[in-house]
Amino acid sequence: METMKRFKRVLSCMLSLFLVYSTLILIRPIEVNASVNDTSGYELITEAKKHLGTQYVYGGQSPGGFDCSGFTMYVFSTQGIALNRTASTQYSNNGYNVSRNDLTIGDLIFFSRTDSNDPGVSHVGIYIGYNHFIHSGNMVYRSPH
Amino acid sequence: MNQSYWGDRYYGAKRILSSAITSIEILMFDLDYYYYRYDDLKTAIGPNDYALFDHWLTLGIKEGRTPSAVFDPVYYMSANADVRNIYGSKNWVAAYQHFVFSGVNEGRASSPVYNGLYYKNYYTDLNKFTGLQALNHYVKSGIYEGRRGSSTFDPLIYKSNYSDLSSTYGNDNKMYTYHYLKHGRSEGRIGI
Repeated sequence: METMKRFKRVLSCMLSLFLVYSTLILIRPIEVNASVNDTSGYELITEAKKHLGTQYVYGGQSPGGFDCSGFTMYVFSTQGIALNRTASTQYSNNGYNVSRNDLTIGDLIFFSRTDSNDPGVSHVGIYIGYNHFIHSGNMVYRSPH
Repeated sequence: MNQSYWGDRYYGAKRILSSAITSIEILMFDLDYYYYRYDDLKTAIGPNDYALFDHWLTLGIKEGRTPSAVFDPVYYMSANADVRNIYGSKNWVAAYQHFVFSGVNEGRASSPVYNGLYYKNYYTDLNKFTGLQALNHYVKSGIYEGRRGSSTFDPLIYKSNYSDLSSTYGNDNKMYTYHYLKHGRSEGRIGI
């Protein structure tokens, strides 16, 4: 009798574990575009180019007008990737360093002021290949152009 | 080059996207091949590196153009029925995206001269390579060494079969692959 009760308890436990496991499997979301690994350079550049000609607006971070970091932040956000708001914090906090010789499409590239009294990061754009980048200067455009 | 940006103002760079993905994308585009392959672009654009790359990203992908020896979207859809059935036989952007995100690492047949799985299994020195490593090897070494990237094309056999080509291209193994893709197949030349 005791053996039968123990057997039922074990069986009940196993059944509960199976039900919990099955539920977890069923409710797990399908992972589509869930990580940065799911964005191609093609997708990013295609989005960036949609905004060529958009006017520069200080503090702007929407298709109505962009500043430089607002532009990069917006473009990456369309791919589900969150960047910091300013050029200097994007440089400090986002991604990892790559050398100039190793640049590839989609990399953020940063520029400083020419004023030697303030040599920090002041501008940012997106590398689009063959020494070109797209950025919001006086408007969104490709450089060199 | 704009010196005010690339010269004294350049500060540094950060990578946000996956290196693996963008590496595949870079390996898929061969500037020399794209220029060689499309006579209309030679006329319209000329040998302008960025303009050719930009053409590929802006229009070429959507038009189903072939950016390199390793990826032909038309062939990819033809050879991979599961992809074709899901995305449609002429959805070239989907072919590109599928190859980038899945096809490379699955070693799928992606052009008449490149099949990742075949390539790494054919050569013992490549047996343990991942799909990306195999692609990288073929693009940077294999095509120049005259290695065989698929069961239907061997550049060295192609070279020995056609004296008109060997007299033109000599030991430039890459050009036999280029020629086969642009002319040889449609001329009915045998690739192996």
